[in-house]
Amino acid sequence: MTDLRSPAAARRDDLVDSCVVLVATIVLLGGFAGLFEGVRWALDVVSVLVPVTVVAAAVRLWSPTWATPFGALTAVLLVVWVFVPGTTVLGVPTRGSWRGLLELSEDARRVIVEEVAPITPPDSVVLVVTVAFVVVLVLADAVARQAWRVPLLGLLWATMLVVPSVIAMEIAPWWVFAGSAAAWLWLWWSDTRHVGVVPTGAAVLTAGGAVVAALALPLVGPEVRPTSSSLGVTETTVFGRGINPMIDLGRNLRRSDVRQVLTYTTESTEGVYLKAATLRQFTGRTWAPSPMLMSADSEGVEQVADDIEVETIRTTVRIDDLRSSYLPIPYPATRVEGLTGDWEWLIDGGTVRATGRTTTRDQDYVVQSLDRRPTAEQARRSRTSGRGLDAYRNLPASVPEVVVSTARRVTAGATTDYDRMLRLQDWLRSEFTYSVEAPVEGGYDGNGLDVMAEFLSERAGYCVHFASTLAVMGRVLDVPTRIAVGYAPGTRLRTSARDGSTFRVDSDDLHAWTEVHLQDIGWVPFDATPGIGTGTEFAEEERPDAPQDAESAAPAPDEPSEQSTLTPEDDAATTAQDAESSSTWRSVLPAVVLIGLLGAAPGGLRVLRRRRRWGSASSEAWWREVGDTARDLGIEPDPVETPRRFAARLVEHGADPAALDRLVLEVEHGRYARTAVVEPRVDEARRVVDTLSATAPRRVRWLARIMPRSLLP
Amino acid sequence: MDFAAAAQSVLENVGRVIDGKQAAIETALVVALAEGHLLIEDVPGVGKTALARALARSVDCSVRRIQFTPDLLPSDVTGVSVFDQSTAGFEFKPGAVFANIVVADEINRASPKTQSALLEAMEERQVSVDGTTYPLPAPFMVVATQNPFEMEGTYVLPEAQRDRFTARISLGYPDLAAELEMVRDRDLGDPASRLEPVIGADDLQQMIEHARGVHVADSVERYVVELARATRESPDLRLGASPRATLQLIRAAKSLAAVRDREFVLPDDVVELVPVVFPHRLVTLRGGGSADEVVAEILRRVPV
Repeated sequence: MTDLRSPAAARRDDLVDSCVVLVATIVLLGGFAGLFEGVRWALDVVSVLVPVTVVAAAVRLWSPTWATPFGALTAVLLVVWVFVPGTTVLGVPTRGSWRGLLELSEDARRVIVEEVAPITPPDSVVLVVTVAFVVVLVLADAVARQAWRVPLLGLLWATMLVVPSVIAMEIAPWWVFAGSAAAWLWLWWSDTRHVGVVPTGAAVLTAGGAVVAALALPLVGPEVRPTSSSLGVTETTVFGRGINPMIDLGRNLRRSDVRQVLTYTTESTEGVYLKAATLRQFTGRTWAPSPMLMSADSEGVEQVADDIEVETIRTTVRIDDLRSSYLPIPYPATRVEGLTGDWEWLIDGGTVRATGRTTTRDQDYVVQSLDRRPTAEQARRSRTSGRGLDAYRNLPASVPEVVVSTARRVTAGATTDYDRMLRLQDWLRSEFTYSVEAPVEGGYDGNGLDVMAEFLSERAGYCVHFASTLAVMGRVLDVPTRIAVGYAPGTRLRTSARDGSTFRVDSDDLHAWTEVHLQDIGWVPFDATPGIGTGTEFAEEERPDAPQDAESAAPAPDEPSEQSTLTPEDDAATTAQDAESSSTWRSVLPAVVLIGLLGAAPGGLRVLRRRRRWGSASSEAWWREVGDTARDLGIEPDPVETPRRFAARLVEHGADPAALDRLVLEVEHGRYARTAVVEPRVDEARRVVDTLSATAPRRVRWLARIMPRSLLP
Repeated sequence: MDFAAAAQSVLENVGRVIDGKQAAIETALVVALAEGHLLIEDVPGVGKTALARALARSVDCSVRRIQFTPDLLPSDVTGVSVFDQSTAGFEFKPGAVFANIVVADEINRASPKTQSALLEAMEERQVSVDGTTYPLPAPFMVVATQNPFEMEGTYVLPEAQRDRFTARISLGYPDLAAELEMVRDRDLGDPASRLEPVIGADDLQQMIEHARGVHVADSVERYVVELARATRESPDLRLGASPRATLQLIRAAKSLAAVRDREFVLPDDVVELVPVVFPHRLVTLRGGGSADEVVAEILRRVPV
């Protein structure tokens, strides 16, 4: 394969190749749009990709060898300038720059583990995405000059196509597939053009098939569901697969296989809510955790005014089947004992989280928490406008009018924040019905603003809708609110005088509720979900004998569907484990299959081609097969070589001389004689291919099988 | 008679005299079968004349040898009309060229005028003296030798005349074994004089006819033409191969195929012959590579 281009044409083609690689990389960026909100992150990434391409292309005109190093250098400088601008001296990165980048990437790792796609990506995540795409770009730009660029780029880009689907369980939009496939085909086509060879039928067929497959894949791709684990981190925590609280909640509640997650024994007679995570940030599309203050101490601090009655409660928790980085504990906890592994305290939310590879699996621990029992009067007195709580009042500008007006209407006449929240809670509990299925059927599942209006008119939903609506309405009324995710108290198993009550918590006790900040008392849970607990209501002064708050709220006597156990315990546990592993497989399988198919495609095509040639009765086809096998093994046929001379070279590489002589004789008769008188013998031809392959080194043989070079024109 | 067997016997016969030069001998035979003429160019004393004589003696036909010298006249080559007093008319005395095989020794020592007298005979296969045309016998072949060096009293063969030779070969020095063999042989006298003819002139003519009938596939013809065109387009050459060269290459390739006992020409035959058929006709540019190098480069470039 000789390059017949003039130097000028080669330079022009190089420029075009660079542009194609850049465009393909930007198109692939579109595959990640489902993970992130907005377009700013994409613009940031593109603003680094474009100069890198320009510099590499410019340097290539001068010296092809230096193009990639200079491109990479540009990328490093741009990343430093964009993401840690204050750390450079006259634009030169310092040690501080590297430290800054390391800190950002550490932060990104945390965000990636904890947050749920889609997020508004912080700089740290944009940095990671930028670095990833710059690496892909530089790699692709370098690979695009190699002879093997078509398969290599295909593999590289296919991997980038698959990554978002592995992360977010959604297949990239069709135009990303089509765009990257088009870029890839263009390179293939330009390869054939450079060497002056018209694409063979097989190439055209492959190309057409690739386009069709690229367009069809998003349509027929299996709908991938995240893993089942309730607060689900699996061992491999990847972006969006972290705690996944709001989105996973509904899916977990709808699961048919219920299993026992944990049991706890508590001094509180009514059972306790176990909180795992706190969600403060509301983007309009979803609730998300936000970076919080952390402390490695094992004690939390909760400020409660002196005049409020407080009792310390001891709860012993034994985890049966839960793998999460968040520890379910009663709120507000003051002390946690008995944990193994590395844990840290999230001060703002009053929750405990694992670091590193520690999870809740098989943990056994004791929690001391406060049971606050203010009177209704004390709650009414409490102002909600404390300092440092602005973050808990933030709302996107796009709150639907109906949410605002409903909040105002329901709370009309109430004079204190406590009363307003109480009214909203009671209104939701009494006027709405609990349903896990209705939101899905009605198409308003989720916790964003867009579904809230629908929820208000349908008046049916599950904890996510109630908690989110109450929190948003609270914020509309300027009351600081946030969402707690964890487990409802569960089912009472037994009560003993010495230890207290023992409760069983199942996977469908997974729950979300609202927390409202009342000064002097702290964050007070309000559970607006009908049928779960009894809602918060502090005792009026007149009836101090019946104190009730959310921590001690009893499960409703009429069993709601959330708490029903449908299968016997042990049976449920085994099926749950099976289901978990199989659903993990379900989520990874399409990606694995896709990569596998793409990886095996060249080898498969080659096998088909070989089979077709052996099937034909033409020595010429067999001879082509010998030539292609040689190419696969790195023995490049030369167009100026006669069959004999090529055969002589093949003998040097270990082909059987006698069989080769025979085949060459047939070929020569076919090509040059007046009439071919030699009888074609396929066994001899096959023997040539076999002996040729057998003597090649193992590595070469494998490469020939996986990436047969002969598929390239 | 069987072509291959006859060719083989000639090759063996000549090989008895010329040790270790199978390729050169084969080329000589191929040129004879292609009705061409052979130019052997080498330093003195490596067996140019011996090869020419051995080839000539292997065929039972008329052989004449002309030693070219500066004072050789054209009429010595072609012949002359002499006045016969008894008949009161001119009688034609044939020159040295009237033979089946003419060995022209040191052809570049003669004056251009004498050279061109021979070269006209080579091309036309006839001689015209005083307005009368005398045909030369068939088969007719000239085996010329020349020294490559600028020696005293030599004239360079013009391009047009070099073009008439189908092939130019050099013998080179024999290797150790061949030279030892030669020393022993020569001890017993000139081996060439002991050679007996193995085929007759008629046989040779038949073989020529047979070689003519060898099949040349279209793709091979195209390959030959592409090669010739490549020499004309080469930036390293002032003069490329002529269409006559193309024709002679095809004829030679047919003969080679026949000698190799094949009914059709392979591109390999062409590849093998190009280095002896093309270079002596090409004129290189000053400062460029030799014609041999240019031809080798073209062979590496033109696809089969």
